[in-house]
Amino acid sequence: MVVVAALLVVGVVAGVSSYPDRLAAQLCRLVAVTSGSDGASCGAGPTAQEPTDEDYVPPACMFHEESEQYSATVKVWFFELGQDSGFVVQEFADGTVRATVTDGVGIGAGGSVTSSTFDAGKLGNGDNAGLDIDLGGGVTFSYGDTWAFDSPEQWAEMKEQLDDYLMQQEMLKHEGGVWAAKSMGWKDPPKDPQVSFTMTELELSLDAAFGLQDPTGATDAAGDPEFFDPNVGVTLSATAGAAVVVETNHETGEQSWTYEVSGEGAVRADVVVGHGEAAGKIEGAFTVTRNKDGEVTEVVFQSSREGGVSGGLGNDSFDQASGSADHSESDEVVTTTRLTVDDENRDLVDTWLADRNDAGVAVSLPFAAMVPAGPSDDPFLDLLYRSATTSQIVYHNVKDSWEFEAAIKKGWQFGFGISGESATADAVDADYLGAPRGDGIRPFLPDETCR
Amino acid sequence: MSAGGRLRAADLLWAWAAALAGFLVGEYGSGVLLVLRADAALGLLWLPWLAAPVLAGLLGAAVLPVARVTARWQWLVATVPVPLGAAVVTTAVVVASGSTAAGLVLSIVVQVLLCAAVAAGVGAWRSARYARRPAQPVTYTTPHPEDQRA
Repeated sequence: MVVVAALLVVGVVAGVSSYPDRLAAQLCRLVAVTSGSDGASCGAGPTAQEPTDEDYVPPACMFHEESEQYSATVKVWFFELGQDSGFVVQEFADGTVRATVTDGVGIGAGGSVTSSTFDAGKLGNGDNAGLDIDLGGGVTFSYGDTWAFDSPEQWAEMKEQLDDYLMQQEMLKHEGGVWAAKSMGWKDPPKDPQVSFTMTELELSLDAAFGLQDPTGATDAAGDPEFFDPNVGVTLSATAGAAVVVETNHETGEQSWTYEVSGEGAVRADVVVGHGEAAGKIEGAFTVTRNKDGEVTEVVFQSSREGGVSGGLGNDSFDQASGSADHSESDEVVTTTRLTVDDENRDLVDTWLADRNDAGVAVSLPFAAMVPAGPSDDPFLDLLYRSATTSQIVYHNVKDSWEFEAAIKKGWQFGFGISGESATADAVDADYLGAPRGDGIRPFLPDETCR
Repeated sequence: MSAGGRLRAADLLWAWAAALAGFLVGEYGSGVLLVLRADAALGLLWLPWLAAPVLAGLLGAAVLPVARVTARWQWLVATVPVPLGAAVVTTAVVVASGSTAAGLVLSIVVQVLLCAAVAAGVGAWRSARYARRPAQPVTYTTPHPEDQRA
């Protein structure tokens, strides 16, 4: 008898220590049943197979610099030699750096990026070479050429090397200068950029990015043909003839096509309760990336809208974060949803990209994809729910929302995670969609890496 | 100038080594200065270019045994090959890097002439000093008996 009792005690202790979460959940449900509640909040806790919040942390948030008021992603470094030119440098939270060469036009106060910092019209488009940036000394880059670095130190090294090289080339212009150049150490020219940007027209890009696609046959309010005809909530249309920016990574062979899209006044009513202004135009961008073999490797949805609402767009799981209607009208919400495509889900993504709706000709691009907080019957939306990362950044008290949104859109064109004039907002809140909870909903959680 | 003897190969090698050392110190020593004062580097471009041949001529002519120099051109033989050799190296560097250096030939000519002028000047000065030394006696006494017997 004593032996049996001892075995029971040992068994209970072992069970509790091995499955504490499950036992706690079962106890919770037992208490809930006896108390008359439904026990829905009694989760069993994540198991080894279930994803955790860490699995959904968005990659490489922008770096927050002390010297700037918010989202200090960008600072600009000018050459003194050569023509007017500049580098827009993004420093990300993971330490990586991207430097993009421009003509130095439209730089805002303190080196911030404005809506005129970038101009897709200066990119080459196949027929035209685009704007060349002559730094002097025979160093010429194309507008938008970009270098990627693993650390700020690497970027500093390249900057120093470039400085030295340009100085050396200047020396060589003077008689006897070759001995000065040689004595200071012969400098190699800067390495070629890893990434370049070109521009193409929407119609020309569809084959490459989506597979063979045709216009829907319908036209939007402006009379432009629609190419995207989402089947949920919002109609996104891309203007025929509009610019599509193509980003090419020369090292990996990857190419990304970024489409500028917009939704007009069709956000679900429950999203905009108490926030009438949020029902207005929503600007967005959709990016498809393919590897050198033409396989889709990533799709990214980005949106920007004015208003203090924190939650989904046209999504059944919409959850208003603050629950109040007293947000500043100048708050701006920028959302980025990123799906990494691999061999396991590529067929589904390919099918979605090539899918036609009932009309037979449309690509389905639901705005609900922006915030995949809940499960969906649609296989693609459910894939986003299960696998995509979503970051949502709220910029408070934006002083010039038009300029802010314009700068955001320009940043999208050049593959920037986020951008904006630092002087136009005085606070930033960053959140991301965490792992699904017991009720199946992925809640927004604070993103500490972005603060 | 004294006709103390013919210039030996060892003397020439010694002079070339000294000239080369002077050239390198002039060029790369100035380079260090330019690196330290990068902000003013463009204004000091002439320094490595001119310091190198000056020091080459100075040192090369300084180490040559003046008593063995029998002709003025020997001061030049002992120094000018250094800037000429450096010119070959510099031209090779420029060509290999695909760069273009403004006035390269003129710059080389200036270096060679400068080195030759400095070497000739130093040689002339040393020869003049050598000539002013008191002449050696024709006969002399020695305490050694065998010499006296001779």
